[in-house]
Amino acid sequence: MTFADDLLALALDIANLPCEARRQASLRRAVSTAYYALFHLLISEATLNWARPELRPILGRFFDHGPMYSTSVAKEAELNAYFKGNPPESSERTVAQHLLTVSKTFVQAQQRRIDADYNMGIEVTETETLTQIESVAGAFKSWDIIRDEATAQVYLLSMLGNKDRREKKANPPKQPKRRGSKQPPIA
Amino acid sequence: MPRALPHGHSPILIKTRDNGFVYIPRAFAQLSLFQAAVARAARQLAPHVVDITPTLGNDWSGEPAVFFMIILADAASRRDQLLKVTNQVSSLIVQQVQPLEQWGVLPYFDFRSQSEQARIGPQSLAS
Repeated sequence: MTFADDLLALALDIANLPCEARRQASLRRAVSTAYYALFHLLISEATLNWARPELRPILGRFFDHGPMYSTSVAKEAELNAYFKGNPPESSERTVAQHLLTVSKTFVQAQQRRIDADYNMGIEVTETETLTQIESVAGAFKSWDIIRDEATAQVYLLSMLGNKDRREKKANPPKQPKRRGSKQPPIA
Repeated sequence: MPRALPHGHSPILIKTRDNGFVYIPRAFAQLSLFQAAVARAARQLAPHVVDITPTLGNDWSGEPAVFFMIILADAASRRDQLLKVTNQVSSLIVQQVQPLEQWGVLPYFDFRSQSEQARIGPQSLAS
């Protein structure tokens, strides 16, 4: 069992605690842990391409939440546009469907994780927790089907980010605050 | 984290005093139209969906976003149904409302069952 599988199993274990043991803290940990399961799955899959196994953990540290988010948002938009054209059944369409599942799950799971870890104004419910875990489990299955496809590998590589992204991270633009704003720091 | 505006996105352009321009996503500028589009989609999702409350704001990265709080009927939020139902609901909203392409906001989806919502009450929807 990989570390990512372990994290997903742990999230499920927490969510399956008996009712009396299921507190806000445990539901929030389950939501957060499920996100990290997907985060580490994608990083471990990317670093598998590195020929020297002993250096893969170091390479993995180059991945960051922000560029992985940006890549996933862009991929989701691109694939939604593709499906809007109602493409015929094909292997390309199947791969696109699974990649859309992975990318949109990453974006949703990341925001839920931020809310679970930082937003104490909203109660995390069992339904929300199970939605997070089930959707991440679905993304694991989709990834397993497309992991050797070229487009899936390009998606992984894009998650490393580029020079512009790194510079933006070092000097983030100031954002105006709006009502309903959800902008905790990501760590 | 500025991003290229997607095709078909129609932001409202406002001139500022320093001769610059700011883009306001259409969902913010035309809130009632946006809410009407969401309500139309919600009607198609009955009886699985009891209510949808969209809240405009920014996601963790600062991108303009809409947070949909979706209240599911208790039968639809059963564990063996949950993934199928939540996928159907979010896909239909993305296809019908097109939050990013038509309104300039990234969609996020939170789900609760009707009985959870009855226990928690409406105040907890505010973030």
